[in-house]
Amino acid sequence: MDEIGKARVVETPADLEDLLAAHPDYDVQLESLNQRQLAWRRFKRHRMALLGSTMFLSMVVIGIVGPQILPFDKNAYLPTNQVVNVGRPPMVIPYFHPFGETTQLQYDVFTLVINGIGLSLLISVGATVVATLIGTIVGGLSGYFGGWLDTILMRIVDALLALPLIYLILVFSEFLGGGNWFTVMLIFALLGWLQTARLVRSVILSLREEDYVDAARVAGVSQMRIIFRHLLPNALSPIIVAATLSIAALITAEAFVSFVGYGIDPSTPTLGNILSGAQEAIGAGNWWWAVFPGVAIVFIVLGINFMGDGLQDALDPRAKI
Amino acid sequence: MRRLLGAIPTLFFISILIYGFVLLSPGGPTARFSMNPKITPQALAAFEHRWGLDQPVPVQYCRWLGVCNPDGQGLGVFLSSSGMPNFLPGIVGGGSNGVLHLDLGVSSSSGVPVSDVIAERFPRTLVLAGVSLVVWLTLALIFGVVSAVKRYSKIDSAITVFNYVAYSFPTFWLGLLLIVIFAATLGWLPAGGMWDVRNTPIFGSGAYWSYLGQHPVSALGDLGRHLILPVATLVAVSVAGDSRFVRASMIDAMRQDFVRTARAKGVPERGVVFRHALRNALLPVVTNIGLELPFLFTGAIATETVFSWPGMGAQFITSIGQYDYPVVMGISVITAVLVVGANLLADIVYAIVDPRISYG
Repeated sequence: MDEIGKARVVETPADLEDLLAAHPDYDVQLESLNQRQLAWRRFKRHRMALLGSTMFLSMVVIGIVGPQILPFDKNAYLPTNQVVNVGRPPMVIPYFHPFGETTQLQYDVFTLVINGIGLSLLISVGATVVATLIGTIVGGLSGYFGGWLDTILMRIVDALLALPLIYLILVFSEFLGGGNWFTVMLIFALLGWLQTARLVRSVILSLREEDYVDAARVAGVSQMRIIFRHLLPNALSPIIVAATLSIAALITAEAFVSFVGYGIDPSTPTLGNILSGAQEAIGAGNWWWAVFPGVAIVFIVLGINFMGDGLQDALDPRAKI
Repeated sequence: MRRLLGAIPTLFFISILIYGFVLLSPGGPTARFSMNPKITPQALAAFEHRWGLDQPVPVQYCRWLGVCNPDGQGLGVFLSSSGMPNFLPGIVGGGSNGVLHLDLGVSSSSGVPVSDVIAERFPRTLVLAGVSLVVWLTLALIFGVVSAVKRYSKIDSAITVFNYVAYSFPTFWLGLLLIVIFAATLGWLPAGGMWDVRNTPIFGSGAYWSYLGQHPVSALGDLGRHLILPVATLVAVSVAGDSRFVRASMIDAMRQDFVRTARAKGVPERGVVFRHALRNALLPVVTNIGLELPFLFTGAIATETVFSWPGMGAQFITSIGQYDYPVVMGISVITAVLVVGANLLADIVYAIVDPRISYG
C-alpha cells in the first residue's frame, strides 16, 4: 500500500490523462521538478549544446588518454636511416603519420597535437577555476559593500583591462620565473578574473535590492552568510556561463602567447608552441604542420561556445521548457 | 564631464601599473647594457645618473610622468624652470619632460625618441585598423539585418553557422591559414609586409608621398594588395561577434509596438526595416562598437605579427624581445589612453543617440 512506483515525467495535462487511461490502477501524486532538474532537461533538449559538449568532452578524453598511449618525448630522434630532414605530408603507410611530420626533427604532428590538446586544456581549465574563484570573491565584495572598496577594486580592474594582455603576461612570467606550464597557468589565473569580477559585481548589485535580502538582513543574518548563502547561489548561472566561455578564451590566449614566443618553453608541446614552430615551414608548402593544431583549437573553442550558449538557455529559469 | 573626470584616476592607476611592471621586469631598464662586457660599471653608473635611475622610485615615477622637473631641488621639483607647476603644458610655462608632455624617452635599441617611433608606426596601424573598421561595420550591419529580417531562413542559418565558426578561430591562426592558401599555395597575394620593397618607397617617408602623387594607381593598388589578407583576418573574427549582436537587437526592435504601428499605417516593408526598426536597433550596437574599438589595436598585435605589418603591434612584440622598455612603455601608454578614450566616447555617443539617457 505504501509502495511508491517509479517516478515518471509528464509534460502536459494531456500526457497525464493518456497515462492514466493506459494504467487505470495508478495512484497519482504530482511533484514538480526542482530548478536543477529543469535546467538539465532544458540542456538535454538544446541540440547545439549537446553537440558542443560532445565535442568538448571528446577533446578532454583525447587530452587525458592520448598522451598515455602516445607520449611525446622531445629527445626521441628517428633512426638515421629514416631521417629525410624535410617534413613529409600525412601518410599511413609505410610510417604511421596521419597528420604528417614536422621538418628538421621530424616529429609526428599527430603525437604533438594529442599532447598539446591535453596540456592546453589543463592550463585553460585550471586557470579558469582559480580565476573564477578570485573574480567571484572580488566582484561579490565589491558589489555587496560598495563605497570606497568598490571604487578602488573597480578602478584596478579598469586599469588592468586597459593594458595589452601580452605585456602583463611577459612581465609576470619573468616575475614568477616563467616558462613552464604551471607558471603560465598561474599567470592566466591572476589575470583572468577581471571580467568575472565585473560580471559578479553587476549581478550582486541588482540582487542586493531584492526583498529576500532585506528579509535576511532584518532577521539578523550575518553579512558573510547573506553574501555566500543568499546572493552568490542566485548569481551562479551567469558565473558558470562566463567560466565556460573563459576556457575558450584562454585556449586561444595561450596559443597566441606561445606562438609569439613569450609563453611556455618552446620544447613543450602546447597547441601554440606547435603552431609557432610551424610558422617558418609554411613558406615551404608544409601546410599540415600548421593546419592540424589549429583545427584542434577551433574544434575545442567551437564546442565550448556551443556548450556555453546551451548552458545560458538552460540555466535561465525564465526560459521556456 | 563627470565621466571625463572619472577617467583620470583610471589613467593614473594605469600609469602606476605600467611603471611598476618595468621595475619588476627582467633586468630592469639597464638590462641591455649590463650584459655588454665593454660597458664598465662606471659608465653604467653615469648612465643611471643621466636618466635619474639612481633616484628613489617615487621620484623616478614622478619625473617619468612629467609632474616633477628633473632639474628642480627640494620642493622645487614640482615647478618648471619658469616657475609654473611642472605638469602644465609647455605653452603656459609648464615643463617639457615626461609622459604628460609627450616625452616618452629614447628607444634603448635604436636611440630614436620613442615619440618618433610611435609617430612612424601609428599611421600604419591606423591604415589597417581604419580599413578594417569600415569593412567590419558594413558587414556586421548587412549580416545582422539580413538574418534578423529573414529569421530562421536558410540564409539566416548560413550566417549563424559562419558566425559560430569564425568566432572560434584564433586570429593569428586564421592569418596563417590565409597565408598558406593565398600566398604560399596560390601565390595571388603577398604573404606579408605593407609595400612591395622592390619598387615602392617606405610608407610614410617623403619619397612615398611623392611616389603616391606620381603613380597613385600603382601605389594604392600595392597597398590594397597588401591589405586584403590582414583586413580579412581582423574582420572575420570581429564581424562574427557583432552580427550576432545586431541580429538580436534588430529582432528585439522588430517586435516593438511602433513597428506594428508603422506596418499598420502602410509604410512599405523597406521603410519599416530601415527607418523604424534599424534606427532603434542601432542604439545598443553603438555602445558595443565603442567597447570593441580597442580590439582593433590589441587584435592588431596578432595580425601584424603574422603578416609582418610594420605597425605598432609588431613593434611592440619586437621591442619586448629586445628589452626595449621605453618603447614598450610608450606603446602601452598610447594603447591604454586609446582604450579609455574609446570607452568614454561610447558613453558620450550613447547619450547623444539615445535622448532617454543622461549623465546629469
